[in-house]
Amino acid sequence: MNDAAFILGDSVEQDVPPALRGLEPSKARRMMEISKELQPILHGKQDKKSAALPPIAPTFTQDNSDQNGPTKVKIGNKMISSDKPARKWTWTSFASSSRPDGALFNHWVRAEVEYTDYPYAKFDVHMNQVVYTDDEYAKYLKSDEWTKSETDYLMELAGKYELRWAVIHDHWFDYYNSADVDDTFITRSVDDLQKRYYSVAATLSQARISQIAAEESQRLSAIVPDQSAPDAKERTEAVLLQTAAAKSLAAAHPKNQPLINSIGTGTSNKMFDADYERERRLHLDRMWNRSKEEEVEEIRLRKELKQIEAKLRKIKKMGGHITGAARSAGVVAPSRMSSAASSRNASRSQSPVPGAAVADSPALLGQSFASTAPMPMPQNPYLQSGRLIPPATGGATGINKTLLTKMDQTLKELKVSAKPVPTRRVCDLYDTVRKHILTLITLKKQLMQKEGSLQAKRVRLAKLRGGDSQTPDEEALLGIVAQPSPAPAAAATSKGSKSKGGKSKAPASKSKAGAQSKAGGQKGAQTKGKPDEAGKAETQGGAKKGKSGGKRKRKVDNKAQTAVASAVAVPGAALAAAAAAAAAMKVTPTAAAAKTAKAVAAKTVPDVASEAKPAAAKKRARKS
Amino acid sequence: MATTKQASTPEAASAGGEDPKNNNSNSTRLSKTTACLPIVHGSIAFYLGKKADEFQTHEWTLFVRGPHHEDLSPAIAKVVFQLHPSFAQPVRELTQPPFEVTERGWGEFEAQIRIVWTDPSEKATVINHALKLYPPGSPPNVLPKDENAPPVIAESYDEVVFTDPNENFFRQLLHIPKAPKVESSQQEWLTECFADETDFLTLAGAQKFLEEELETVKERFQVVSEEYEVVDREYTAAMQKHQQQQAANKKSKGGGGKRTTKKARTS
Repeated sequence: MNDAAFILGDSVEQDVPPALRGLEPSKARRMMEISKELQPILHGKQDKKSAALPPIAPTFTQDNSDQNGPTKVKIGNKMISSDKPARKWTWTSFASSSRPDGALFNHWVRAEVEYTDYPYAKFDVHMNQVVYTDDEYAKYLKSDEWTKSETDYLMELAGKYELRWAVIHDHWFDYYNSADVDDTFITRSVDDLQKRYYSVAATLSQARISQIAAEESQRLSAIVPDQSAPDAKERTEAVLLQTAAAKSLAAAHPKNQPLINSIGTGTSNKMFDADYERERRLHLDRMWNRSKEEEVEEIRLRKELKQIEAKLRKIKKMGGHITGAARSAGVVAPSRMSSAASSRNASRSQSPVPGAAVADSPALLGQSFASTAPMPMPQNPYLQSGRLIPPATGGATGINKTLLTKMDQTLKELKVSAKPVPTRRVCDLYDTVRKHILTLITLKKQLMQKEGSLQAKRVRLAKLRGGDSQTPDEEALLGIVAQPSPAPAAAATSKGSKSKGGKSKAPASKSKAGAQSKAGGQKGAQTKGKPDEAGKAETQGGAKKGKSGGKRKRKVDNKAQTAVASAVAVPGAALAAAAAAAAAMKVTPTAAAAKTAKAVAAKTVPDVASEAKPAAAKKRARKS
Repeated sequence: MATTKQASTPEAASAGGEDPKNNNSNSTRLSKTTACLPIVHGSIAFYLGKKADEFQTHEWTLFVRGPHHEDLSPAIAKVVFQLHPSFAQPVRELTQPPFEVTERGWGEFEAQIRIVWTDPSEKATVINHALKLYPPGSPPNVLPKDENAPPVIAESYDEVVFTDPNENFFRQLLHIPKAPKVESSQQEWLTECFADETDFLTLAGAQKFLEEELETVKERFQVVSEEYEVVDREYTAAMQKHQQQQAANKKSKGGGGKRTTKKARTS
């Protein structure tokens, strides 16, 4: 409405707009010069309609002034109250202490606040130039390749350009292009400049430290009173001072210095490695300049490398590198040569050991020991105790850590002391014993794996066959067969003696294995003869093996328990059933119960099963 | 050259075990020979009791000796003991036996012993020895009750192995057991003999046992491998048969079908 009046001109009698009517005329006149839109807002006398519009900037609105107290508006973190005056800002000129020329600039600044200096001047940090006296130069910093003037110039540049080496290197030539000096001094690379600068700084700081320490120790020693001092206290003081002097000297020795980074000059006393720096630059240049194809190629090569290393690690874990030696060196009887060779070939194809690794393997075990043991070399005597340290675990020829811990365990079990007296023969024996242990452990692991794969194969075979003929017998599936007829003799003896668990278990597993080899499927009667023979041979071997120590027993335990030794017999062998009952004795009753139930369900000869069940129950009762 | 059962005399043996001592090399260096010189390095520490103060609680001796107090000077030119830098003159050189350093102090530290041989072509041997003032197992800095507490002895037996030594040096080494013994300042306490019999026998027994074990495991491995072979063969055979059967079944089914239809027509 006021606008319309304004537009219409002064013809309308509106000397003083309604908002300003309450003010003095002089003031009102001044106000009118200000834009009409602002007037109502300035004195809080805004009409309701415009007040209802959302403010463009945080404002005090008329509505709120009706509430208790002055209106507060939140700006940023603070609440601004409407009854306080606004802050005053002035447009002033200022100078920054960080500017060398003292030039004046203008900016908005709070009116009442005192500014001592341009607040950001404190961030203008500069480096300290490395300075030395001529004496110091003559004493410590002389160099064949650098003249004093060059060195001085370098220090100056370094300070001026604050160790920005690219710039320094650029400016280096200005000096030589202007003056007429020897041409040989012009060609300095960035590394040379850097090396000289850092070595000068380091030598200088070290020299200064040593000097200070020397002075201090001298001073301390000078204080020391005469030796003839009668008082004990003075004597101890003397000794203390001497020690303090010695200590400060020792501390100042370059060997004992910690890494001191002098931030002022950007140097440290130990670190700059010129060769490394050069390599780094070269490498960066190469990387910058290589083409896209090269990059792709490099990535591909790295991936390949990772794969190969992973394979190597797997081989090491499987212990292929150790047992290759054992296998190739430990062929038992000549009659088994061909079968051994063929089995090795077959197993080689199965196991993760590639051909190359097996060829190198006899040396690898020796290598891993040799990597940590001292090498006999003329003119270099070594200590025999060096041979007692354990072989390395990391790196290419290293041994698996778990293997190492197992080896230590075994050594403890064998009552070998951890630190034997290092004589030659003891060290030799110690080496041999350790190597044997490692070979044994890995061989056993491989043996377990082999047997596992054998059983898996048998299952597959039975499945294949079982699909064609009768319903599969669960325990035959898993290749477990009770002891055939000759075995009961051994089994009978084992029945009586539970303590000789190892011995009895060994025959059980051996005969099982023997029977397995032929009676994998439901071949029936024809196979019975063979298992007996095989069983006999195996039991004898098993008896022998049963004598060997605790580890053997443990391994066999596992086999016996994982094997499903149910009370069910080979079909058609009633005697075998009785023997099977003996086998059941070795398994935990619960396992046996479960297996018996299952086997019974699948069994084709129920009478044998029923016979075996009470027998098994009897045995179990006896056991418990 | 005397070789007794105890590991106390320097032994000379051929490196490979097969080649005899070979004296006809061009220089005076013997080839394919190794010489082992037994050495004991250690420390013995006495508590000072009443005479102790804050900075000197123990008097200790750091030494290098032969296991039976032999005179090692034909082989050793000098022994350099590097003590903790807080000692005055931390570098102590001894050129004559007994090679010992006696000092008073309060702290345990690792001293470096450097043995320089009479033969300059042999590199000096460095051994680190941790000085023990308190008996092992007791908490550190717990002082013993009185002056008469037994000293804390920490000795280690070791052998220095020289490969292809010079002839003269070798002869010197051989002289050592025959020369008269050297008395140490702590003779009464350093009586240990360092026999290796027990270790040797234990290890020999262990080796035998392990070899037997290895044999059995290898045998077993062979057996299992053979069985595996067999089963593998059977498996492949069964697989082939199975496949043939399946093929045959398919054929017969197809043929039977045809035949039945024919029959149906004719009948």
